[in-house]
Amino acid sequence: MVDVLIPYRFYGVDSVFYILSSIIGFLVSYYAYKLYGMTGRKSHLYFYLGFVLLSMSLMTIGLASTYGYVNFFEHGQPSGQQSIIDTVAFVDDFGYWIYYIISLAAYGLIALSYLPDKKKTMFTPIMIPLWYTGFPYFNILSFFLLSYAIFNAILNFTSKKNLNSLLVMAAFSLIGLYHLLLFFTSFSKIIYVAAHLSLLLGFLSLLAMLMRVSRKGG
Amino acid sequence: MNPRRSKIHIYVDILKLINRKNGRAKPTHILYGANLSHIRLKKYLAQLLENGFIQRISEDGHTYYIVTQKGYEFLHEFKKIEQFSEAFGIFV
Repeated sequence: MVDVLIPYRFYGVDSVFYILSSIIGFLVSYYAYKLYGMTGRKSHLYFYLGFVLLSMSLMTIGLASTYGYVNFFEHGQPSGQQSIIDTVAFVDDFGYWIYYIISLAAYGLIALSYLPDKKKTMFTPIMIPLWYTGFPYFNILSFFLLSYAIFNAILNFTSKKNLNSLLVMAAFSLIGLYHLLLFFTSFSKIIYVAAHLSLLLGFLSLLAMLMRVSRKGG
Repeated sequence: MNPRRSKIHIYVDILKLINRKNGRAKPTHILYGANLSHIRLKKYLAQLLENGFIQRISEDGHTYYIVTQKGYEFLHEFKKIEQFSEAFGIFV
């Protein structure tokens, strides 16, 4: 695992970013669920489940890291009681593992929803070796899985050239950039901040698209 | 572009067509406007009636179909979902 450098002033802010991103993700899931409800198509189900899982994973890491930060601010550096340190470490580790597993499944489902129906069966053999590559490369794997959605969003924007498709393209690209930047957090603290800003901006871009869709629906 | 319309698109086409005809249309107008065979039209009209999206009325010895409030709400919802799916490049 790489060491993650987090600026002290950013302690807790990242948790807020995760929770806000998760809430927006659940809003996207709600629309995706309505889409699936109308069509009943499998690819729409994958898309819906993908966003539900992504939102759940962000909420998990948001809450787990909040718990860690609250304990840090209450008890200071990990030099206090061993039982407290153990509990905080357990909750934090557990939260991260859940986040890793559910996020990868979510990105897999989102990528699957973009695949043509005939090629969906190819997906599992591709995913298995990726899975066993392990979690140290979680951010690179996530970026790799998300890159297919980014590619499709770029294609969609180039053919549509409207603001909604631009917002989705920006959203996927920024979420992809978040994972890419997180891989390099051992080099500088500012990269950690930039990565999380990128994540939040990505989800805010999705929120802007949702607001436009819900306003212009009529 | 998908040459085969999905069921949902056929529903929307029929509802939009009735709406364009001042909110009421004869079955023959729907038949030609929605570009459906007689058998398929009967099937879809029955489904729209069952869902409460349209209503059948008789006037001057003619049968007309009108869009219900639920039908307009469905059209409104469809427009939102269509825009949502188009933004992602996944089509309804």
